[in-house]
Amino acid sequence: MSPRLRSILRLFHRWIGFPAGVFLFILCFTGSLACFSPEIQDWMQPSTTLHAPLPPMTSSGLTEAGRRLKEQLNAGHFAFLRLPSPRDPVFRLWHYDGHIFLGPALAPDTGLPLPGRDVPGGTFFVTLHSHLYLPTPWGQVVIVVAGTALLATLLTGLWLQLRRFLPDLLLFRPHAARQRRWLDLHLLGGTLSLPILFIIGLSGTVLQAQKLFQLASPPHHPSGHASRHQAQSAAPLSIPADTLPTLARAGQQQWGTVAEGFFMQTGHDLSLYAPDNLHFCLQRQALTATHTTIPARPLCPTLHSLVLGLHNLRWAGLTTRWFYCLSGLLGCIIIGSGMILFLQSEQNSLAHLSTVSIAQRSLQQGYAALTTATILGLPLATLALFWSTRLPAPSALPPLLWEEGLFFGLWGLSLLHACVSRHAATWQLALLATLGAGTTGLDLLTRPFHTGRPLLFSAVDALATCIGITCLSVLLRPIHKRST
Amino acid sequence: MILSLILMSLWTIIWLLYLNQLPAHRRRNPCRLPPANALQKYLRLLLLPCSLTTAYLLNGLDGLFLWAFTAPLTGFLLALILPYPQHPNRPHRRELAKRSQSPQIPAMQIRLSSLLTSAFIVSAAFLGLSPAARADRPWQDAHVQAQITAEHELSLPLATSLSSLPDGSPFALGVTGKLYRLDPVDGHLTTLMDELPPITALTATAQGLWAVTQAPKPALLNIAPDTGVILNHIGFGSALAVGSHISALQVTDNKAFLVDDGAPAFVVIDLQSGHAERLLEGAPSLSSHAPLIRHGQPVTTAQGQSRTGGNVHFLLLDHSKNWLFYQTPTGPLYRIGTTILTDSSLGPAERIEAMTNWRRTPSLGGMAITRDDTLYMVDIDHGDLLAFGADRLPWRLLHDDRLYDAQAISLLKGRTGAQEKLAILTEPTAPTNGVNPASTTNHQHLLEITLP
Repeated sequence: MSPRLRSILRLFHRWIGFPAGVFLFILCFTGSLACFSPEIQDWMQPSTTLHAPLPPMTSSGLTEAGRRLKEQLNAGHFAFLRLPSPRDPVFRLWHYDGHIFLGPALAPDTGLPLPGRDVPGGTFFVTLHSHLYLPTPWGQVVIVVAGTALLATLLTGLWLQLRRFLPDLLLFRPHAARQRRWLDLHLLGGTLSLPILFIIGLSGTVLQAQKLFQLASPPHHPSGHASRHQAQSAAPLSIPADTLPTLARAGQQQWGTVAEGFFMQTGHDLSLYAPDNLHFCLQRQALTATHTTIPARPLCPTLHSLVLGLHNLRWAGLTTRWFYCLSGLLGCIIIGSGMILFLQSEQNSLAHLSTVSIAQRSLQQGYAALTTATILGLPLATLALFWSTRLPAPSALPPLLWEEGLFFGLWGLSLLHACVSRHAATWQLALLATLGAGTTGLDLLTRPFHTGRPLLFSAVDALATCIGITCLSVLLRPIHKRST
Repeated sequence: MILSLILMSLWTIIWLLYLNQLPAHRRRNPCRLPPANALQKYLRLLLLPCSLTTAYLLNGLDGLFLWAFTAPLTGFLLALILPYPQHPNRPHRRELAKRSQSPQIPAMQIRLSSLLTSAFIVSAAFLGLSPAARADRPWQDAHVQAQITAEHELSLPLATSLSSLPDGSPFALGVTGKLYRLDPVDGHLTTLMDELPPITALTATAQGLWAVTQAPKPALLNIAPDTGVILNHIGFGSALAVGSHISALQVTDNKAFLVDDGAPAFVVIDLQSGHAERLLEGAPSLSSHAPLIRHGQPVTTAQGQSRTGGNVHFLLLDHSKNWLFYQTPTGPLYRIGTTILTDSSLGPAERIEAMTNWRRTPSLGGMAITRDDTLYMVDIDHGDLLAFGADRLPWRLLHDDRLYDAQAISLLKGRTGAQEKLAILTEPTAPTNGVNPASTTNHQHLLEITLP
């Protein structure tokens, strides 16, 4: 490769990678959390995890839950009822508030509401991942641009590293100079997980692009067709009391399980939708009172369902989802290290100049602030959100507003802090270490000690503690170095 | 869960086998498997489909994804967790400490035993704590000093280049680029061959003499030491830049390594294919960053300004032909692996990183290396002969005022017995700067030194 081509590729890689990296880091981080959306919901609402042994779903419970669903529908709320599953052992009578799913949790055996308030929950991260909480077309546009940038960055990165791809596959030099160490980490993660990143990135971009196309040219509905919302507002729904248990039995026969399936109104009927985790490709098959069996369909009916299956991995087992989550975090490491490398090389280029103008210096400070707010601010805001769901909200504010406001407020503050202070990273690391290390204590203090899902709580606490310890070790490193 | 553990183990084996087949300077494998062979290669290739099939049979589609996810994560964890072996190009302080304990460095003998590996790491870490190993030790007088046993006046003006064959016969270059055989008994110079083009740098090896000529056309010549016949002639291609001047060269079995002090860079020539490549152009370690000091005074130019030592001037090859030592006249001494220069998969950044500062030195008038990898240097700042061996102990072997004017040094085999001798070329003492005007002559001298 000629030095000229190399410098051009490097320029592209850096200047596409850094701005896109801000969004890609958010997407990777929230995507990793979205793998465990129901579990996060349960952690934030510890009362819904019940006591061991977990009670199974009963017919009377389902009837009672169905009654409550009907009430909601008749009151004009477009709600749906999700059935209990091993991942989330309660009924969820949810409605969509424009960003996230909200609603009470019902006991699987009685169908009565469980104590606890609404929390942003796991779907908050799903929403953040799918459209960054931005208004409808803009979220998709940003993600498509960032996804395309990811593919471009991966390709330029691969081209730059092509000659040393195989010889340096497992190269990491912990004793090397700082920039070399970060580069090693960046290349190590990048080259090893290149195929996975490419597939995840491509499938995510395709999904969002499809959404954009749909928004640009909405499907034409024949006259007389009523959308779900129009239908529900037309007349009160009349559902016989035994419809839900009957449909659940039919679903059990059809699919073998209805755990994680959901009841939703379609037209004047109530349908039972198949669980999302049934097939590799997402098939929203539905049973109604009049159609209690459905003919077998091809495994992957559309390209969209195939891409969805590839990207969401809802069908996958727990271990695979864990590894998927870890791969997403590896993506965070790659993007984070890339941003740090960008920052260092910009700093180095300034160091060679004899005079540095104020504009250049403030631009550099801006890059550093963006990096800090992305790499530290987002995990900090996430941990703060976790904490706020367990702590009482200020009485003047609705809890949900307070929790979401805290998340975005803290994230914005992190950016602001990094803009005005040179030592922002250290302080934010310290705060992150405190929150991470204290999560276990908070968890034990704010939930009943005996729970039906001890592993869930320990896993979340352990992850938070890992973050805390990592931050603490980074903080203590200079002190340790000085002492040796 | 069980499948993921199986897959991670299989991937660990695959990655370790992959690491094992890398060249030693790239290997990050703490468990030295038997040297890479065809069996390992086939095993590695076989394990990939085997693990994929196992994953699919045990867990279906889930297994396939698990297979794909465990690969990068296992590799990533391995790369972070595996102890990073002492990079051969970087004398890490632990290694230095270890070296100061034992004169011979055993190659990193790593067995498939984590116990040994841990023991090595623990002991190396323990040794790394000793502060003495980190610093350059000061030069100390040797218990037994070297002696100047003879001095000959040379009849012809010589360039600052001396080299001797493994049997000890020295060769010298005239200021006009003529090649002379030097008789160490009386300092008599014999022209080797009149028809040779003017030579700018010379080295003598077991394969004969290797010389660089820059006019009429730059080329590397292999010359028979007894007859002066040109045995081989390799062009430089485009490996020279404007202002290039090759100051020194070293030759291994199939590569020639040259240093360019006109436009600082390394030039590597493949002796088989004749391909010449210019590397590490303008690397900082190839240029002097300090004034050249002779007899305690900065050497000045005609305009009265301090002279720097110029660019890289000395280049030596160790006995194993794995390491090149190079330096400018003012030091410090650097070391780089020959494989670093010949491995085409390495980039400039890695090569620069592999240029290892080996030791600070004073201003030098010559440098030579023996079969046991001891470096002999003539310190023109203090008029000393210095020795620095593989044990990294710095010895001052001799002080003599004549050494202030040293220009070149070469090994000589002892004429009597096994004692090694050195030949040092000294320039005529300048009349204005002369310490002893009586000894001022216009001729260079050859000093013969017997090593202790």
